[in-house]
Amino acid sequence: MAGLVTGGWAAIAVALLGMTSPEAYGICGISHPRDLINWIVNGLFGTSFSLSQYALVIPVLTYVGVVVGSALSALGSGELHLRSTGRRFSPVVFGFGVANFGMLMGYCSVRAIMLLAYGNVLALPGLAGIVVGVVLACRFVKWRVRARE
Amino acid sequence: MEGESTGIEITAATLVAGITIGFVWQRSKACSITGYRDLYLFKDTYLFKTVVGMFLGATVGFFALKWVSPFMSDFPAITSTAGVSPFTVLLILIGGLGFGFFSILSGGCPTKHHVAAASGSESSMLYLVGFYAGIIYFQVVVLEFLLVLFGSS
Repeated sequence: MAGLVTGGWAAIAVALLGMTSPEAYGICGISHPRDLINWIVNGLFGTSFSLSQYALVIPVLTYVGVVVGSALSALGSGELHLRSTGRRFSPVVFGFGVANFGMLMGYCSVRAIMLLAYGNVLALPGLAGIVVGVVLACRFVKWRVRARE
Repeated sequence: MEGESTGIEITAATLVAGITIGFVWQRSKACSITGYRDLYLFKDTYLFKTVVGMFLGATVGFFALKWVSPFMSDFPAITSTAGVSPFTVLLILIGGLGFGFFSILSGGCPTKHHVAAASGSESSMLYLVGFYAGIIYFQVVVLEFLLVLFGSS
């Protein structure tokens, strides 16, 4: 269901709202947060970080919506409470790494699928890289677990 | 383009879409990365259904709406990427590799971490601190470095 809703929205954003430049821009876990944070930083500090044409006046609020929708859902199902894992440093490093490699790729794993559905062949090297990265990470984690035993 | 949506329409539409997506992703514990992991490690297809669903939803949507849309003259966009340099393809490949690697170590894709942070996961909140700092860092440092290194303007 989540996949169908996400894919359906991407199609509506392109077909009915004209979010076609860059292609299939309805949702992206890299570009939309980039538009949002760049818009805020540009406004606060007078910088000129790049924005998509849809975020020049008011930013795209996809990920603000995701946070609100998720919080509402968690509230409704009684899952809204602070959960601590004790890890403080590694999540920051991993987030930093994901952002930098995602910016290099130019899109996220969600938009890669949307680009593929749109017929953009540049989704293929990104998806291939993601799959190889996933396999390498799985092997790395398995190796680390075995090394600790 | 005639009929193109204005900024406020896009902003409102993305906010409503985001709320819907956040709601269903939280309910289904969806992720666009860990599906590959579970398929590879455990042959478990549950989370991978998100990826399949996204592809099906988008493909069906694109084909169905192409006929009523004034914006999709380039669909399917198979030929629009002709002339892209092999170097660009290599950068995308490297980017994808690092994205997949760090996403697995972190436990999910950026969308999943936004969802998890909003429902109270401290590690996802910390992930987002690094994530947004990383976006700025890339533009200030990495992009400038790449432009100097490869002399592109």
